[in-house]
Amino acid sequence: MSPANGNSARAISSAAPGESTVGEGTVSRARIDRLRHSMPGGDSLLDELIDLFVLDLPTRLSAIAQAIERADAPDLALQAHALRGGAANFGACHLDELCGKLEQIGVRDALAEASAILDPLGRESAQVRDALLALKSNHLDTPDGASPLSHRSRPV
Amino acid sequence: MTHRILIVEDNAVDQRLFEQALSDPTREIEICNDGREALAAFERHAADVVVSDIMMPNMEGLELLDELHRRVPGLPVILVTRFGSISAAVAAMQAGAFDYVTKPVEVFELQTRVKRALELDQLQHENDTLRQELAGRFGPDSVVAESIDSRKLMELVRRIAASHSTVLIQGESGTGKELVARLVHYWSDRVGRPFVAVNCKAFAESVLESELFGHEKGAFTGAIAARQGCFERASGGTLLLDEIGDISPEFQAKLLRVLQEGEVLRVGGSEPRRINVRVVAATNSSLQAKVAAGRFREDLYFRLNVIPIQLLPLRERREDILALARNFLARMAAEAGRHMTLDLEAAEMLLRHSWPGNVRELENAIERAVVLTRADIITTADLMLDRLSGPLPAPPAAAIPIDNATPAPAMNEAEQRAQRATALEDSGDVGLSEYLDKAAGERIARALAKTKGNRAEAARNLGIGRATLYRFMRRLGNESIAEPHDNEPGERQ
Repeated sequence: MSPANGNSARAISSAAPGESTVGEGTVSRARIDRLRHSMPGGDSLLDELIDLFVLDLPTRLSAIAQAIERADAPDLALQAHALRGGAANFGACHLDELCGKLEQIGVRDALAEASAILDPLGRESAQVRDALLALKSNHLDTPDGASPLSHRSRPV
Repeated sequence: MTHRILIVEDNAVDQRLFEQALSDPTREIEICNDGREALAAFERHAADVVVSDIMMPNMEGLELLDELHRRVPGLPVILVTRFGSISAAVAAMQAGAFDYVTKPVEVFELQTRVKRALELDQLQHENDTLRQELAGRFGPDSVVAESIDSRKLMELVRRIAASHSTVLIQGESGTGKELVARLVHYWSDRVGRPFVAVNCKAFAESVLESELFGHEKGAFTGAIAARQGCFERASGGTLLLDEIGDISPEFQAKLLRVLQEGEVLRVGGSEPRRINVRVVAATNSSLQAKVAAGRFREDLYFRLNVIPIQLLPLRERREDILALARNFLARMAAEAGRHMTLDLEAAEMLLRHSWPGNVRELENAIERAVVLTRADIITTADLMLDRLSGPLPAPPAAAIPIDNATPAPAMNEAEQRAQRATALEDSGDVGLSEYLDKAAGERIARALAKTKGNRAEAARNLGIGRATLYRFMRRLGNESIAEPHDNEPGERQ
C-alpha cells in the first residue's frame, strides 16, 4: 500500500491492532490491510470495493435524505443499514456510527432527530470517500467522487 | 460436483466481497439484492447454502430463512448480523439458521462457516445413503445368488458398476430388476449420491415429462413453484427408468435428446441444465421386439442398450429358490425373535411351483406362511401352494447367457407367463393367492381386535415381527384387514 498524502493522510488511522479510529481517522488502515491480505488479488479487489463504495455513496446519501423528507422511517433504517455495512468494511467507524444512529432513528420512528445528523453524515462521507480514493493502489483520484470504475459496475 | 451458493445482500461492497471470498471452481454463486429476489432465484434453481443479511428491503433475513426452510427443511442458511447485535444472533439461531457471521465480515470466518455448511450437507447426504446400505439389502454378501447364472450375474454387475455406461435390464416382473439397478448404483463410485427410481408407466405423458425433466414456475396450471425433475435430483448418482418400453414415440424422442446432449430442459424453461447421471433402464418386455415392430426407436434402444442385462425367471434358476426362501424366512423370523425353518415337504413344494410372479411371489408366499403358521416349522399346509404347483416346466430351449451382449427373447417368457396366468384364471385357481392372503389378513385382524389395535402386541401374539405385520398390511393395502381402532393405545414404534 502506498502512503497517502495531503488531507487524506490525516483521515487514515494508523492505530493498527485495535482499529479504534473514532476521533482519530476516517478509515482504518489495519482493517483495510487485513481485507487486502485476506484474499489473493487483494489489491485489485480492494480497488474494486472502493470503487463500488464510492459509486454507491451519493445514491445512498440521497436515499437517506429522501427517506427523511418523506418521513419514511423503515426506508431510512434500511438505507442507513446498507451504507453502514459498506462503511464498516473499511473501518470507517465514525461514518458507521452516524449510520447506526440513523438506523436506530428509523427503527424507533423518531424522525425528528434525523435532520441534525444529515450534515455530519455528508461531511464524514466526503472524508471517507477521499481517504479511500487516496488508498487506491493506482491513485485514480477524482475531484467529486465520481471515480472511474476500472472493472465492473454492479446494480445496487 | 458443483455447489450452489446464494448471497443475499443489499450493499454492493458486501456483495462483491462475499462473492470473492466464496469463489471456487466447484461453486456456482448467485447474488440477490433482497429476500424476495433470493426466493425467486431459489425456486428457479435450488441452492446448497444461503448467506443472507438479516436486514434487507422487501423480505428480511429471518423471513427468508423461514420461507427457505418451508421449501427445504434443514437447508443451511448463514445469517449476517451487526457486530455486537447479540439479540439478532440469538434470533437467527433460534429461527434455525445454520450459523451467523457478524459485520464487518472477516473473510476467513465466512469461508470457514460456508465450508462447514457444505461439508455437513454432504455428510448428511452420504450418511442417509450409507444408512440405507447398512440396512443390509445391498451389501455384497447379502445378495442371494446360489445358481451359476445368478453368480455370473453378480459378477457382471460388479464389473459394470465401475463404469458409467448406460445399462438396460430386461426380465419378467418380479425378477429383481430394481434390486439389480440398485446394486449397480451401490457398488459403484456413485454410492453416496442419490439413487432415484421412476416408473415411466405410472405417469401420464405430460406429467412424466415434468417428473423427469422438472418444470419452471408457471409452466402449466398448478406449477406454483419451479421443481427439479428426476434427472436433476439424481445429480451425481443413478436414475432408474423402469418400464421404459411403455413410453410413447414422442417421449422417446425427448429422452433420446437428453441422453445424447447430456442436458435437460425443464418444462417451460429456456435454459438447458447439464446433468451428470448414470441411467439404468428396465423393462419386462423385449425392447428388441418393440424395435422390430416399430414401436420403439432404434436409436434410443442402442443408446440404452450399452450394457444389457437379462434377468432369468425364477423357474429357470431353481437353485435359487430354496436359498431365497430361507433368506426371506430368516429375515422375517428374526424380526419376531424366532427361528423358523422349512420342512422337507414344504421345500419340495417350493421347488415344484412354477413361480409365475418370480421372486416377488416367493417372498409374498413366505411372508404369508409366517403370518399363518403357529409353529416354528413351515409346512406345506402353511404354504398351500399345491393347487398352484404344476409339474416342473420344460427347460428353456436355449439357455440365456446373462453376460452376452445379445438381448434374450424375453417376450417369449412373458407370453408364456401370460398364457399360464390366463389358464389359471380360467380354472379359478388364480384366486388362491388372494384367498390365502385374505386368510392371513383375517388372522391379523383378529389379533388386532384382541389387542385393541396395538400392532406391536398383535405381532408378538402372532409370533411375527412388526415389520412383517406392517409389510403384509401395506401389501394388501389394509383391504383384507379391518383394523378395529384408528388410534393405537400403547403402540410402540
